[in-house]
Amino acid sequence: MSNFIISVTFLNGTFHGRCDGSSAEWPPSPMRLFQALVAVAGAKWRTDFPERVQAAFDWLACQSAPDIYAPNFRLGTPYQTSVPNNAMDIVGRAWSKGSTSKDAQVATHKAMKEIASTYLLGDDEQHWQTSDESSWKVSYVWKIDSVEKVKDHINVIKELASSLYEVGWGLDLVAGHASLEADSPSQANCWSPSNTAGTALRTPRPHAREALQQRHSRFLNRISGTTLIPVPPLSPLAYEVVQYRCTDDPATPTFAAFSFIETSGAKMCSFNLLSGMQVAGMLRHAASTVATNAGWPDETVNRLICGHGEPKEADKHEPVGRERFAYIPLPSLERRKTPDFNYVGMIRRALVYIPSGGRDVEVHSMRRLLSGMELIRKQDKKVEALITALPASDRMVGHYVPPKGASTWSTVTPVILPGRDDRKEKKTEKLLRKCIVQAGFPEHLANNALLDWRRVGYRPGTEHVKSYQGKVPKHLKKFPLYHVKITWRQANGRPLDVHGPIVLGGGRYYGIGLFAAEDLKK
Amino acid sequence: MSKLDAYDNYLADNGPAALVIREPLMSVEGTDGVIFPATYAAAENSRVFAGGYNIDTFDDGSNICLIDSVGSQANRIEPIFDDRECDGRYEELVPQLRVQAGEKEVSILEAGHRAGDALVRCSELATELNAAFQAVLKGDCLPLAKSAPTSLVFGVWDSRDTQAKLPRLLTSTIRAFDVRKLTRSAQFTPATTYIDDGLLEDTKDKKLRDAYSERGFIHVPASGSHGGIIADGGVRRDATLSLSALRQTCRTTDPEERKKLQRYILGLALVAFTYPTTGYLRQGCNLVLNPDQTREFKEVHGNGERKDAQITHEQALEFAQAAAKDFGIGESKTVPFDKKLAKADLKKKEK
Repeated sequence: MSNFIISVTFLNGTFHGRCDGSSAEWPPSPMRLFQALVAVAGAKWRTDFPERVQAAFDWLACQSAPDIYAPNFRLGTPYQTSVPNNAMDIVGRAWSKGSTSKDAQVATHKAMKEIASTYLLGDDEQHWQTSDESSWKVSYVWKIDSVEKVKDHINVIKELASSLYEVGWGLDLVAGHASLEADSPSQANCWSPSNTAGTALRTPRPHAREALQQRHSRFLNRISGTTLIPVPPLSPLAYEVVQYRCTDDPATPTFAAFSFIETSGAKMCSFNLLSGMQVAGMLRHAASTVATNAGWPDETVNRLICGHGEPKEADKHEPVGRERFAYIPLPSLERRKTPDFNYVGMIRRALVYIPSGGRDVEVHSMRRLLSGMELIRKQDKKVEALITALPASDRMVGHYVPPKGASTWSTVTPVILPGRDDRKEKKTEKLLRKCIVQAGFPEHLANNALLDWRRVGYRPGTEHVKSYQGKVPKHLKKFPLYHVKITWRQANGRPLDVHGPIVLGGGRYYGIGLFAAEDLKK
Repeated sequence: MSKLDAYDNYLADNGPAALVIREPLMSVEGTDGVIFPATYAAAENSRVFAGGYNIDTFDDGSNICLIDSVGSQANRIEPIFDDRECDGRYEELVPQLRVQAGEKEVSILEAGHRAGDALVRCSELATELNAAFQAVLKGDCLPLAKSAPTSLVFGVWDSRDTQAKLPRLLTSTIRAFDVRKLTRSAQFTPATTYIDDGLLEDTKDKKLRDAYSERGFIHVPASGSHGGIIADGGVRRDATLSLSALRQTCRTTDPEERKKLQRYILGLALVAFTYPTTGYLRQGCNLVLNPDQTREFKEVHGNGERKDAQITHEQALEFAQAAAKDFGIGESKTVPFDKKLAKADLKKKEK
């Protein structure tokens, strides 16, 4: 297996490409690179690409989405500047008439254009001012099984890549290079295709080259005599939108959010912060009931919904790992006594998800099945609330699963350590980092995270850890609890935005050790 | 090596991808002098940027302030080829095409869209330039280089006719680093107290008071307006000349003619690239080279390799003159603006 790598060095250290919806695109999409290569071929052969070139493009478009190695980046502030609107004929007419009207002013015929630079920061995020082109490289990597079979295609693409001159806007001058390598590139971040939500990037599909050539030809002929023929957007057959995730950014698993409504339907139902575990228990019971009624196999209900690896009749509990539902009661974060939404209030919502990810069908089914069901207290079968599905975009849910991620998080319920710390700081820290890894975060994230912990909460409204000691399950009672604040960082110490939900420690499947984002990105 | 083939390695297929200059600058008053950057309009979402200086702040607290943008730098460099500028030092490098509209005379070097500008296409140059753009679409840039060669250096889009597009070969930007933003306040004092002296009637009507203020009849305070910046991290011009783009786009069918064409455009690009764009940029922004810091001039190759390069502006000019002579520049002319063509064009647009 070889790596076919096309590297693009941004000579000015900035990039201006926009993605669908006109927001800044990063990293530059594989389709953008493909388009730049087609433009190079177009400059050389106009519309009549030789067959070997057509075949090479078609081969590249058929490859699976490449990994993208890109440096760190920082979005610049957008600003507007006025640009000429190519209407100087109006000005010329006014001048010829000797007019001094508005039409005679050049400034009247300008249009505003918004510009926002994305700064490429290099691997070690050195100061942009002192970095150079060697840090401003983006590499696209395709894994090739048998190079011999496709060497002709590769040679054509290599030749075109060495002639690349622009990727993005006209300001984004580049130097291109393609090679076959045994090793992956060394840039700071690797963006890989992901089957969960991430950064949507266009990647070419088999007919991409043909569609681009057709669109270019329509663009050239958009003015026919006295008629302007609008050029339609690029056909969706030419590209597909692939979700990319940076390896430093663990995927947000698919989740279902719910709110609790009073049985009268009059208002939201709220539960005390300390009764979170009972709420989680009731939710799990409801999930198990609806899944059984829906015909889910017993074993699936037992493992996935109840988290039991052992058969029903067995005495000893066998854990099933992260591939099971977690039931996370969500306290409301209120603006009470604080300028921000920081005050931890009552539980009015819940999140249901499978921490390992990859079981989207079951999560979606559970969202459908649970919505409209009752939350029933085990002891007396009293109906406590109605469960109603919420959209993922719910503002309160956004504090726990921020769409743009956040780097600083603090607990709303304390973390139960996975061992005794003997009140020694070093042990506590080690156990906290262990919690992070157990929750599925990469080890380097756990090692780089900045940790702080104490017995009282970081947010007003949180309960002292002592309040939980009598409430946690028996097998966890011997372990210490702490409120924790985490600042996620890259290896060089710079903050790193991480997507939620974040639930760490012994009670993580029922909402103990739940974190909320502190620095929500707007 | 003769002058003409001095830079042929830049035109070879395996030549460098680009030339890059990093030029440390400073205010004429010294490195700690106050300079006035360009101001920009607010972003579409004015909560993101409300307008003013474009300063981007990074997580480590450092920041970058845009002093002069790519477009603005191009607007300063391109007109040097006008025979009325720079004592006509560069006039023999390009044909001097002008359009006369009323009392105004506009050079193609000043027109915003260069050879594709609506002003030019509404003159007798329209036919010649239309043919040149048609040739560009067929991969032949020679006719355009004869009439409007700077369109090949700074990029062009014939947006109102053939839609032919050529990329920009040259970018230049001036930025300041780690800046401290200043504000200033001022008070306008009228020559006399018009109201107190009974020369104007006193009023509480806001409209009238605003009119007084606009005409300078009353005191006008101005506070907290833009007061420039102090660039603690220095000021720098970054310029890039894309040789890849030049090799890809400046083409013609005959190989010998192609060499002449590419040398000619390279000559112009090198003159523009090495032209010192320092000096007076705007009120309060007078920049000169910083003699205490090293200027960087590099050849950058596709594989990322960087090699030192050195071409002085004089060497670039000498090469450009020789290349222009060898290529044979087009005829200079001043043509009248044709109202009929403009009218016809407007009708087309309205339809």
